[in-house]
Amino acid sequence: MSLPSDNPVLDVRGLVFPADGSVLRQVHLAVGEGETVAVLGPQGAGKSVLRACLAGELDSAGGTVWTNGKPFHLMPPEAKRAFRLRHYGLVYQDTVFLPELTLADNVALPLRFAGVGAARARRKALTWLARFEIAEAADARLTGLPLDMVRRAALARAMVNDPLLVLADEPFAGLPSQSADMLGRVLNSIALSHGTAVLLFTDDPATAARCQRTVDLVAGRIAAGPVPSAAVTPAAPAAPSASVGAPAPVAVSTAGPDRVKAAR
Amino acid sequence: MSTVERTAGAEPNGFRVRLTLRMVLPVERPARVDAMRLAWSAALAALPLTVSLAAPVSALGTAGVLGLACAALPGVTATAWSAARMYDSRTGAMRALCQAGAEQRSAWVMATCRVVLFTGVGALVGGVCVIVFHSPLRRLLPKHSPLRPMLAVGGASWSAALVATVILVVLGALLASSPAWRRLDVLLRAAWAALPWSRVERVVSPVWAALRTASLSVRRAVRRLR
Repeated sequence: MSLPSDNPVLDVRGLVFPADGSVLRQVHLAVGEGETVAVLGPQGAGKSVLRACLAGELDSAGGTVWTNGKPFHLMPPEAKRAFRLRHYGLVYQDTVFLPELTLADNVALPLRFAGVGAARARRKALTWLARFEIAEAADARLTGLPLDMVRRAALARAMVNDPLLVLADEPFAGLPSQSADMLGRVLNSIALSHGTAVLLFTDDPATAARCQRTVDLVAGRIAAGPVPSAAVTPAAPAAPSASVGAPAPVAVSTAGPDRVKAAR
Repeated sequence: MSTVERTAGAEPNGFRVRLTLRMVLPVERPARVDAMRLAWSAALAALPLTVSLAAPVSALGTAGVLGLACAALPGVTATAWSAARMYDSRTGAMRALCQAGAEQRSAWVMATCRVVLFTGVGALVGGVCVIVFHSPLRRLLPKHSPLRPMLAVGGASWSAALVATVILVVLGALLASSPAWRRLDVLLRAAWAALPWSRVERVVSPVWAALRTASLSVRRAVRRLR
């Protein structure tokens, strides 16, 4: 199997799930480093299944998923988990934290599971909590935490391992537009400064508009969608890279940080 | 190179143990109440169970077995109910761990530890109570009581019965807090709703709700007075 020529952070080709293609049919998608892409689709379009397939939580029936030039689809489950722990940041729509731990400890958990020491993991967690402007709640328990803080903490937990790719399922759901705008700006700026590829799954055009690029997921297929009129001018605009039926061209930012290049 | 890239390895065992210990003791009041209720229920279930497991087969007459079954009913029911109530917190903990990157199996173990610990300790306390008090209790019982011969066993039988009781009660609690039990519970509720005498429930439910509201009001009033 040959490596995709343009070597984006995420390169999905002909993804099918399940075998009869009733949920996902020939999904082609590519996301370059520093790019934020929204997968926009109505409920039941297959967004969550696509996210789960890309994260390796579901085994696709066909197609390839290359992450950072590695054939993610060929990895055995344990290797997928280790790879995910190192290179993926995941934001779940129904984010759950452990009420027995403080916010900082919860955010540091992915690092602790990856074998990073307690002090270092906590330092990283505090850095990311500060980046999402909730450093003051670092030692707070999770009970009764407002939704806004939970969403920020979920993003901080996803970013704590300096991932190459963030898969975020409705990360701004239920937030007032002001908070969502602010988080969208922070996410875009982090993507650019860290070279992180962000793939955001949503059914809300306003949320999609906060990303640099939008692709439509309709009935299990990616269709090139128009960028919503409310779209904020992206700091580093990228050409649409998703299309129906064919591997997509990818715009990879040339201003990516050294971290990504070193990891490659 | 990312922080994780430099240090990544297998999920460290020491960390898993420490995290499990932190998760075992609930910090939220409702979770604490549920856990304590489970422990007491397990203790209640363990009393007749320990006796029935320790008793010699020759001492287990029909009346004795029936008596023990009746005695076990409240404890077993309460244990099943309390453990089923912990299903949500258990699955929630497991989901949180998996979302943070824990391996599925270790997440299951960590999330299950609380149910195991509280049930185990409860059953142990119940069993030890039987072992400590069986002798004076035997003296108090009338001569022809079916329970009397059941309590006349040696120390080894009691120890074996205690271990078996703890294992059985813990397994029962795990079953009652499992997804399979949840599915069974949903089916049973659906069957109950389909029965014509669920009309009785329709009448009883508002009365029950009114009683609960009244009891809450009384409690609040008492608290205010204090």
